[in-house]
Amino acid sequence: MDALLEVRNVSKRFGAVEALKDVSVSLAPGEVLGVVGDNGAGKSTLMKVISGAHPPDSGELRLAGQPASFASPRAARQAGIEMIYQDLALADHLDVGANIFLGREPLRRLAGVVPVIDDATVRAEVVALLGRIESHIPDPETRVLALSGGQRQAVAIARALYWKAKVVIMDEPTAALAAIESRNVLRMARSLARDGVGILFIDHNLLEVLEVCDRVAVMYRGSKVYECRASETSQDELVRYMTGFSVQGAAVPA
Amino acid sequence: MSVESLSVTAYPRQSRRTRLLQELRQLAFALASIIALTIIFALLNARFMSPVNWYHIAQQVAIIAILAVGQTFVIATAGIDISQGSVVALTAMISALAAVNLGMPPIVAVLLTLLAGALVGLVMGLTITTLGVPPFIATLGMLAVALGGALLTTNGTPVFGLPQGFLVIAQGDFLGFPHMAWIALILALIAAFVLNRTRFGRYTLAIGSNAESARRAGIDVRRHLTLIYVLAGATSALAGIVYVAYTAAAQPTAGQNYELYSIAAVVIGGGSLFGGVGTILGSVLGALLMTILRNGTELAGISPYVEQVILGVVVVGAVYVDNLRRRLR
Ligand SMILES: Nc1ncnc2c1ncn2[C@@H]1O[C@H](COP(=O)(O)OP(=O)(O)O)[C@@H](O)[C@H]1O
Ligand SMILES: [Mg+2]
Repeated sequence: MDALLEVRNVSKRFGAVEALKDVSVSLAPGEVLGVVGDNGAGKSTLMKVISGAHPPDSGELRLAGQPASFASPRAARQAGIEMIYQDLALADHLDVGANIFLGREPLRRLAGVVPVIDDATVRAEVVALLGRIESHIPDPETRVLALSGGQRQAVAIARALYWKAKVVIMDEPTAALAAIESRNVLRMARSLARDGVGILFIDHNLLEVLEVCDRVAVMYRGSKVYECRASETSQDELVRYMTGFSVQGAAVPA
Repeated sequence: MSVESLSVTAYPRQSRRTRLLQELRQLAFALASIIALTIIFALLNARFMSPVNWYHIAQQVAIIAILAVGQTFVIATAGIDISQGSVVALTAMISALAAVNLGMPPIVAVLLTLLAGALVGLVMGLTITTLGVPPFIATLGMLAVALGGALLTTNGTPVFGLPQGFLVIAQGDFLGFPHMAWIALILALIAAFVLNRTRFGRYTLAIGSNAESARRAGIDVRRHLTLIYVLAGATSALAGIVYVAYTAAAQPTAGQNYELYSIAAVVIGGGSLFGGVGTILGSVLGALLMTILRNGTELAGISPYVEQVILGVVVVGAVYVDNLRRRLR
């Protein structure tokens, strides 16, 4: 299958810190790629380069085979790359529908002249969307402030889905969630992938990674040191690469 | 265990109905307070319940309600406009000078004054959005500037002799309801429509709820906030115009403390100084409550100095309750 997103030989440094060293990864449509690594390994920096928040020092991004460079997160989003922020950045006092459509509300004309928000359309679309990601939000007119952490993730994911994201980046989406809610987020990630979205999934919980991802890339001190199919690896193996034990000729324990 | 095998439905719920109930509870609180105060003041002075007095209340509430409408939008963005009273004074002077000293036709004087109010708002808005001065300080500065400006126009002397065509804005009634109350009512209806049904209203609440989220959604937050203060300035000017027509005179002391009435009205009506919430209906009920408080204490023979003290306590009390509400959520 053709790559949806290709990262080619990307490097990025912050002063003396080489946050990314010649990193290459690719992502196919409908694929969930796990990115794991110790704190400071460069995972978030890689995601920020992909989502347009940091320009790379060298290397290139390709989207559907075409070279792409994003001047801002906004430009990346327009190209179909949606980052689901750790802080989620939802407007708590607005309802689910208002958040999903924020900034892009469908309008209709009252009496043929006055533009008003088309609430019926919003509602119908939101019901369909929440169904698609199998979320458990009972009512699109629930205010976000009454939602649990997992439900807030669902709102952010639905937003990405509706706006036709091709690549969705989830940076530690389950970090602040109760176990049961984490499961729902994993399920939503899978249903996004079934819709053909490519997902970059960062998580510290390797069990979750092995469960939800198709492939896993391991980062170690700014470099991608290992990549494999999730079905062909184990927690132990991933940990060995994450801690640098299997890297650069270090002895691999039998 | 596969990811698909689990399904959870035990989440906190807040359907449209419970939300509506919450809003109704807030309105019910304002309404109950209105009824309680009405009973108290009726007992203190029988004249309080006279039709003449209620006609009077309908006139008085108009100015506070107009200000409360502007304040609702500002507070919904997590801002505050404490310049309102002074801007009422300044625009009162401008409208009277235009209509009397410059002999402009009333409609021209009115439009000019609204424009002046919008300009005052623009200055506040730009101070906040481009200089990064917090709304409290920016509008506090304008409070001083506008009051100084109002005093400077005539060196502190009032302007009389307004033409009948100007006075009719406030004086006279339609269907038994004072003109000025109609003005406030129409403004409130338009404002409620804008706040609830349009993108402008939606963005107002979104910015107040989470400005960063609004920014990421592509909303031009600075431009929107600037516009909010322009509208607030224009509504203060409308209140100034109505004030002049109502009292048939323009004085630089017009509108003193009115910002306190409007802030209290908004918060009592369910608005929160933390932003993201507020309804026009609530704010108008809050305005009615504050008007009854003012009118009733006067009729009960309570000194205006004491009324000042009560006003201060009500404002602080309302904001304190707002704090509690937020923490309890
Ligand atoms: N904006 C920045 N300025 C300076 N150094 C940074 C910045 N962002 C990340 N770094 C550094 O780059 C390295 C990689 O960080 P990061 O990508 O956040 O790692 P991870 O997400 O894998 O924990 C770390 O050493 C971090 O301190
Ligand atoms: Mg990180």
